[in-house]
Amino acid sequence: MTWMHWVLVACAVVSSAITPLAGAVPALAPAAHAVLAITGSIASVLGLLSPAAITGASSGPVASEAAAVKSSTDALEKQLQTPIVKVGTDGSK
Amino acid sequence: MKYIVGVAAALFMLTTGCFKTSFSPAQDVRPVARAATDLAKDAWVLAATACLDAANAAGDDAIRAKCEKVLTPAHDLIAAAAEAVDTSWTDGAACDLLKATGMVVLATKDFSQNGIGPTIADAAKIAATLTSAACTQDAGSE
Repeated sequence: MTWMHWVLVACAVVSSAITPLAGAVPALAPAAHAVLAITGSIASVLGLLSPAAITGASSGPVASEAAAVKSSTDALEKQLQTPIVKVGTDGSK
Repeated sequence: MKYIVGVAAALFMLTTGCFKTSFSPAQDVRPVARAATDLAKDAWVLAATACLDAANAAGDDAIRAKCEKVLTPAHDLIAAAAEAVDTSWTDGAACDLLKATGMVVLATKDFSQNGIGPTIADAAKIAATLTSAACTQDAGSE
């Protein structure tokens, strides 16, 4: 998980904890409202910065360099290691 | 007003704090390492293709064998460098890639007259330039 995921999780946890508390203690409602606004704003900004943080998409390397090198070179590498068989004009080897 | 200032301050602290820890020098090396490895790989592919074409055209297995002797270890070094790009780039990986580019140029020095040689040499040189700064070991100067 990236730091964005952790911040979003923290926002979700704080929001979940604050909402029932504000319902139970009316005096806390204004403060709870402010906190919910902050967590909501943070989540919105993170969503704009990186939609992947919201969708949970991988934040690791987008492509494997090893796989790219392997796919580009393996066939040629095998050909390089295979002796060339001379074919005569009459088709004999 | 206090609320807006508070939110702005919280967002500022959050973003500046996070960005400071998100972009470390170690992470900045990877794009350069990836570019260098890609260039070395492209040079290797061009070199191997040129060798095989020359060997097939001449029907001479000695050309293929000579190329294979140099290009196979170069391939292994490039593959190892690619692994390092995916995992953790090190000075050793940079030196290996530098060696590989030298091998690629060496393998194709006989084909310099047919047009592809300079292209291969250029790709290898750029890859070497990108990696040479990171290679501080003696092996890189071989």
